Amino acid sequence: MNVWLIGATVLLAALLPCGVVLLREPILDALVALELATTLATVALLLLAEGYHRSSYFAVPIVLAFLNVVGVLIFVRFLADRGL
Amino acid sequence: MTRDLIVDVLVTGGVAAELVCCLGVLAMRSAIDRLHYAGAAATLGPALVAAAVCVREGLVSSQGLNSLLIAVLLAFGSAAVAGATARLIRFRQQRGLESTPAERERA
Repeated sequence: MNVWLIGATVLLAALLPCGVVLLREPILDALVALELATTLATVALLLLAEGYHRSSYFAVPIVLAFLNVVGVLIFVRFLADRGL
Repeated sequence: MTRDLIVDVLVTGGVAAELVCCLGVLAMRSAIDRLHYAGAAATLGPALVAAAVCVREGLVSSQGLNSLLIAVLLAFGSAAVAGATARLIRFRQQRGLESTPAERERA
């Protein structure tokens, strides 16, 4: 166990409050919580990649950091149309 | 020994910054206030963690450059996403993006 893996564990636990906001709050607040959850997951994957000392693992957070933008913009486009 | 201490401090600072933003999203009451914390979470935290990776692995290394790329992607990506989300929140609350007469008077 090293500081990287401890940090990743703490960040994964921090996803729980995001889940609470996602489930209980209106849809726009849920979208903001989704953005934060993706950022937390990306940083957790970065910490895990360094904690296991495998440079090949860095590809996963890079792809997730890019898909975070694409995914949320699709949600924004979808919610702008629908009167949900 | 000193380098390990610097790495520990940077990683702890990065994780603490993320936790503060997480608590902010939980505590705030409106979507636009929560958006400030969600946007901030993609700037300071990843930058500190990327700095920690660079201190441990060296700047010009596969891990160092990858972690800097992740920090830059998160910072610029979240700025674009926060702008789009703020426009969506405004649009859905006011049925348009123009300022209301009350806001024009206040300005």
